[in-house]
Amino acid sequence: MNTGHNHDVDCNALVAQLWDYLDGELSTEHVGALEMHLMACSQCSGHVEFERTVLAAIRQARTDAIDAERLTSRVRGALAAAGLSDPR
Amino acid sequence: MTFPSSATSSFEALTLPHLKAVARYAHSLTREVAAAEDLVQDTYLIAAQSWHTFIAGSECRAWLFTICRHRFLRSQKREQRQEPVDDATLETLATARGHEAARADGLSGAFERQEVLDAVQGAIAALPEAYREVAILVDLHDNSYESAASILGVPVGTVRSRLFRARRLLQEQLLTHARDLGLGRVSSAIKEMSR
Repeated sequence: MNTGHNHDVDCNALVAQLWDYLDGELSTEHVGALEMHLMACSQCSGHVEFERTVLAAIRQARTDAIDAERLTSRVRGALAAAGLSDPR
Repeated sequence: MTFPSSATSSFEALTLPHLKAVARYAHSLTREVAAAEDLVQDTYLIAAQSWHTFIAGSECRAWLFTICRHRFLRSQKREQRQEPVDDATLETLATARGHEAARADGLSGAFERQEVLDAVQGAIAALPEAYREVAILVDLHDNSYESAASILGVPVGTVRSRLFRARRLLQEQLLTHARDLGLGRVSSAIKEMSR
């Protein structure tokens, strides 16, 4: 791993914060420092791009198999039957 | 039965807009449509009975997810097991090493291949539960680390370490799948040599 860059963030620090960065969990200041490093380090930018595709692959597994409209009616009915509906 | 909260007028108005998200989450947990629908109904009945405990201004969606998860665990008669807390940084470094190995095998583009994408759901389902539930909350349902921590009742640091472990396991499992399918350079070279 390249450690020869003279930045506030080195390669190890970037890799350690990689997921926090991709999840948008870092402060603006941290993001700025990481992106400075990424502009100068092709190895780390390669890591980030690869892990971005991993995340995208995981997130495409979302499913919407349930008919929410029908289920809402069913839940409203169950709430009414239990005497738990909002007062009209 | 009488409605238990004085703030009754807003229960359905505040909670039903989240039903679709709760249903998707329930489906991720149960992996079966009928069971998920029962779990959602159960969640809303318990939520309505507990409405007086909801703190106005707090995150209603996370509150519903918490109830949903507790009902699911109860229905499974499973106690939440305390998994050892892993080191989030070590997990992330291990993930990066996985990328190095993938690149060496010519698998840098593996996660854009349909054959790999098709295997993601199965790989998530195969994760140990402590890791699977964090991946579901953050990666499939867009919860922040803090929100996931609130739903699971664990510190944010535990969410990070379990999430990063989950992603490392998923990456490893899917790269193994890609190698098994012969998508990598090494496998291709071996095939070429065996002709």
